[in-house]
Amino acid sequence: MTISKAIAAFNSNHDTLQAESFFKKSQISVRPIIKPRKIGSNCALALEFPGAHSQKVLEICKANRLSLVGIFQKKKEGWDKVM
Amino acid sequence: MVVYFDNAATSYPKPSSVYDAINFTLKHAGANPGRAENTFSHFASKIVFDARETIAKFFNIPDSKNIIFTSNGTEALNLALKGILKPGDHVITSSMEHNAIVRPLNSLKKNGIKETIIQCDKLGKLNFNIVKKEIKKNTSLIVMTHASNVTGTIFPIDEVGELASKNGIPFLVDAAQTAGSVPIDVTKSKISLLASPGHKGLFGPQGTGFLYIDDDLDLKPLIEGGTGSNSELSEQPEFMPDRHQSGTLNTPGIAGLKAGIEFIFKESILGIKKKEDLLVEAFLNGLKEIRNVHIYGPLLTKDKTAVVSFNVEGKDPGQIANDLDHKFHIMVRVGLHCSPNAHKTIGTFPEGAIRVSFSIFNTLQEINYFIDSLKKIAT
Repeated sequence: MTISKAIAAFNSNHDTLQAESFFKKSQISVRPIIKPRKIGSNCALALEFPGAHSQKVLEICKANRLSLVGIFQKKKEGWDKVM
Repeated sequence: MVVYFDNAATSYPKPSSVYDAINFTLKHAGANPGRAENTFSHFASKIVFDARETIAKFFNIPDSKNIIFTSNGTEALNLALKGILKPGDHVITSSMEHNAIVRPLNSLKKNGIKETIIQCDKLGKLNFNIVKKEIKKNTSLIVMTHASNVTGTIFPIDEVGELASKNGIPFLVDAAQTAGSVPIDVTKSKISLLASPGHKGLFGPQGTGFLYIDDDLDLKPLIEGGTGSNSELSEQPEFMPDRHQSGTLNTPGIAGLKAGIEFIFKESILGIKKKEDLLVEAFLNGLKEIRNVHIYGPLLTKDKTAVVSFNVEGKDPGQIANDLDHKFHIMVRVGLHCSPNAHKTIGTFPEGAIRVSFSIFNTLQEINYFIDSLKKIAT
């Protein structure tokens, strides 16, 4: 199944901004969005990116010890945590 | 001529880029960082994040998330001391400390903290070997200034950091008088906690400061509240920086602080120290020409920051400061400088001393004007 767009959600705003910087350096096209309420109750950002890069995103977050809550894909209703 | 010689209290003027950054942020990034995360809020968040990254680069801090913004250096020191010390702990400090360290420690002593104060000499110098001898089994913190705000005496923080690290003791450094003019590397000097105001040598505005907390330390939060994270929970988050960063930040101030540090990067910290040393040398040479002037602290610029305290024998220091201000428009600071212990150490308690403190925006012309003016008052 092809994931067209995915979002990465983090525990903290700081980690989200840190991740944005790392993703850009790795040539991953990324757009900060307001985190969907169904994913978490933070006022934090989430990062939208092409779903094809999900594995790379996961690796970047692990390598840099970022507080990744998960990588999510939009469903008809709600969000699926895919990683 | 109007002369400002009180940069140890707060630096003035600031680089123009600092004013520009504050103004820009007020006008264009007025939303709350880390809240809502709409476009404006994200813009403000980025400013705060970039400022943390700049501070991390400047002090060689491995991870910028361990930098907590505070409203000043005093709040940073309070967060460190009250966050780490517990009843039964022993703390080592020096006799040259500012009240921002002395008062919280005195307050903590009422809760069962034991304190050893290392007596410095008449120049304000710390004997490192005495620190070694005072380490006990329950020593939980070594805290000291990097340089005295009264005499400018620079402390041997590399040696103390090494000693603290070998003994597994956290080391808290008050960088109020050195951040921005003396190189500080928290990794090389094994500093576990670094507290600094933003508004002195770092050229940020008043209302800024920070505390760096080593990754291995877990401090009890000083302030708890909304963090924009884990909002469903009624406890403070465990992760940094949110654990210690409740409430709305001073975003325009933080933008100004970032601009101040970037200015220092451009000037180079060694270039700043060199220029300040020239001013101090000229000032000391001028003071030595005046009879009955007593200068406190070291006289070599390698041993001190751009802070000089002195008195004129037989003259009230307050009267001298008044005359300098009202007759000659020269602004200094007189009294105990919130460091009564330092004055007790150098022998100027309780009257205090006249303190002058320079930044790179001061000039030799101002120094000459000061000396000429002092000659008229003092003789």
